[in-house]
Amino acid sequence: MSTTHESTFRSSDFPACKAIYCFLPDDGTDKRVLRELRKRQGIIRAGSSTCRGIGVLASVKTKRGKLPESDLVKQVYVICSEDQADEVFDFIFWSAHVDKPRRGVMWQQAITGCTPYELPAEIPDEEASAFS
Amino acid sequence: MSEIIYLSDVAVITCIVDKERSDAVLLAARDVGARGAIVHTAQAWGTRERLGIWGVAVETEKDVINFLVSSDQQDLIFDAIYQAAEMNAPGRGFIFISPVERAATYVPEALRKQLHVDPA
Repeated sequence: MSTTHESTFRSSDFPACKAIYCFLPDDGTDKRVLRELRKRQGIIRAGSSTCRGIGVLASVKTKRGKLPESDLVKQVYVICSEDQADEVFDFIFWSAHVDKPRRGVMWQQAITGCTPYELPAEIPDEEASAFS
Repeated sequence: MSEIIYLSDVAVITCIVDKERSDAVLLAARDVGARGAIVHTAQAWGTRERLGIWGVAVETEKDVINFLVSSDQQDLIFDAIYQAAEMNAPGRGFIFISPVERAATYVPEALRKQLHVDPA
């Protein structure tokens, strides 16, 4: 396959990072964790999305050969530097109460590079504007 | 605050499959020991929009299914998913395994005692 596109960057131009994925119940924990990550750890390369979670150990009765009903769950994804990963992983674990039953699961993977991300400066904070 | 038990020797199996086959994939994985799955609904297009002699449009409603599995189970679960999704036929989708550095979740009290870890 040939291409005439000239690349401006190579992925190796961007530093290796860690990706942390966390699957949480759909009870607003994802938004709280994202707020706290930004406030306490300075993490802004993060977000959440909705997906279905199916746990075969869930205490539900199903017909033989059928799957249990799936739950709506939130996936929180966080990109952080390799230096921050240990602290951020533990922070999310305790903040989202992943140590408790039915509070989800989280894992960490290495990624070879990630572009930087900045929030627009001119948009006021939700919390600041709520009290003004 | 107790200790976090980091699970190592785990991997994520990702399976991208037509929506209609996702239940078969999930059941097959469960039957060989997968503990759970995360399903993302996706609108997808690949390298071809139409396949086959009739030029039938490729189903674009896909499910992206993630299984967090232990490394010693990964081949068994991969094989079960492969068969259930009929990946040997063209245009069915694909499966890949990515390494996980560590994972964490709720560990029952009895297991913590077995591992000699502080109670939660």
